Amino acid sequence: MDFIADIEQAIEHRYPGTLLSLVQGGQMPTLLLNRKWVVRVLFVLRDEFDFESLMCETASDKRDRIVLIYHLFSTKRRRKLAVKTELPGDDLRVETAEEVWRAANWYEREIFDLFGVEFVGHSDLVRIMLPPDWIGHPLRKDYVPAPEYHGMKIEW
Amino acid sequence: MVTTRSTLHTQEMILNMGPHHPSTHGVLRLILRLDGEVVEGVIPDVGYLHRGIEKIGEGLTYRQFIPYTDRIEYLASMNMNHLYCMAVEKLAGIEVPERAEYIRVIMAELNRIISHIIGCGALAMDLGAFTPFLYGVVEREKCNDLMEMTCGQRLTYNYLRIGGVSQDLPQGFEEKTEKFLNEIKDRWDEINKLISANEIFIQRLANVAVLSVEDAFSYNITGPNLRACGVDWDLRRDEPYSVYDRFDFQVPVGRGERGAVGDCYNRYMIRVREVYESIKIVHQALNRIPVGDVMAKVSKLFKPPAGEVFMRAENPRGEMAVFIESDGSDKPYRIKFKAPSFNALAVFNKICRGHMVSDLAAVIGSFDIVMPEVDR
Repeated sequence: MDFIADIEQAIEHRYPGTLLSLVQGGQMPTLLLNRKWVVRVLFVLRDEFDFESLMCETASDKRDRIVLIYHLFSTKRRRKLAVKTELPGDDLRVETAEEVWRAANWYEREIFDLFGVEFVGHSDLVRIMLPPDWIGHPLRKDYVPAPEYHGMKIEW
Repeated sequence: MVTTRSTLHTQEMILNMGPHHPSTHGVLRLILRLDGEVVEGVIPDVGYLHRGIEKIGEGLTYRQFIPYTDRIEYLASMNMNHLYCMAVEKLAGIEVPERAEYIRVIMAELNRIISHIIGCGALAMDLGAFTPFLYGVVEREKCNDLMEMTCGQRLTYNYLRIGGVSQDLPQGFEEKTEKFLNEIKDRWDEINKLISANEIFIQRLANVAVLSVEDAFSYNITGPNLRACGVDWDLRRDEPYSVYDRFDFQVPVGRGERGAVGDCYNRYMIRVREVYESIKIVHQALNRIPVGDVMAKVSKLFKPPAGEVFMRAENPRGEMAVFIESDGSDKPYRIKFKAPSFNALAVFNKICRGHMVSDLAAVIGSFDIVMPEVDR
């Protein structure tokens, strides 16, 4: 438990007010961070707490907001950590984590493609799964498929 | 008249490799920036097999989604079933009967063996050695027969259920599996003799596309590809799930026998050595499998409590992870799969620079890329 207290203290010390909540128990501790400083905190977690890899970065649409989830893992300390941040529906922007872990480059392209989250500072923010001229972001809960794509239609 | 390189007009060339190319293991397009035959940059273009499985999952009940997990990674369907069922069981707090856990491990390891056979065979085939692949496929057919007698399917098994497995092992399964294991061991020795020490094969793989440990962590390369870099990490041993903690097996780690640690040859050798370990695990599991039920009591209308779960499992290609968010209804609110091949492809641009175009076939084969799990 000391480990989590150390993380809590480090965040509070560097970026006061960034740690909005901390949930322990369950599978892994979960931090909810203010989106303004989330990537700075990820740098701290990587450099000082040995979280050398990003197992997964994904998002979940809550209709009024989109929640970003980073799953971190430290092979050295054998610890897992989930970091969450919330993006309000009218401003889906957050800094890119590409500089923290290279794996984030493709994860974020996928989130941009399927959720429409804009990662500020990303080196190559283009669609990855869908064609470049696709309209909409399919994993949003309010997504309605376009009736036609280049003359292709599906009769339901 | 002699034309030297300095008087020759040269220019950089952009070349498409794929999407339909025999060595790209599915529909993968690599946009290559070339200087003559030397690769200056690789941009993988993925998504040709995107079926929107994560979106489909939001419209299906938890049980209905199991067959879709087969199609995410068709060379390791049992491992995919296993991962998904484990995640849902964790979410709902279901205890799986011990016999079912043993059956799951036996199936997952058999699937790992045949997946590695295809992986190593296809790598050799991409490099021009056709025979090992065919030898391997013959053995794989025997294992497919075992799967067929257990669950009726040869490729997309849909055998596991939330809370157990769909039916008990058929009569005579143990003997036939023991026979298969003995045969595959001999045949694997033979295939190993054919190619592993072949000078041409070694020349094509050794010191090609060396992946450093730092890059492996930063790009989250996992499984055999990470162990090839010399990192001693295996989820089955270090973070045991199911009943893996009861078996005695070694974790092969890249030793750099023929070149640098983390090159294509190490990635190949790890898979070769892992097959022997899997054979050991299946032997032990068959000897110790208890009698009993194969299904836990799970209500017909299955609704896990609200919450979320993140689960990973050691698949043949690396750590496959699943994230499921439940809102308490009978359908997942969000379901996400993180595939090991997805990360492996992202690292291509970094490690392929400076190699020949023909080396790319070796790199794709050594990482054992499977496209449906990248595109989902």
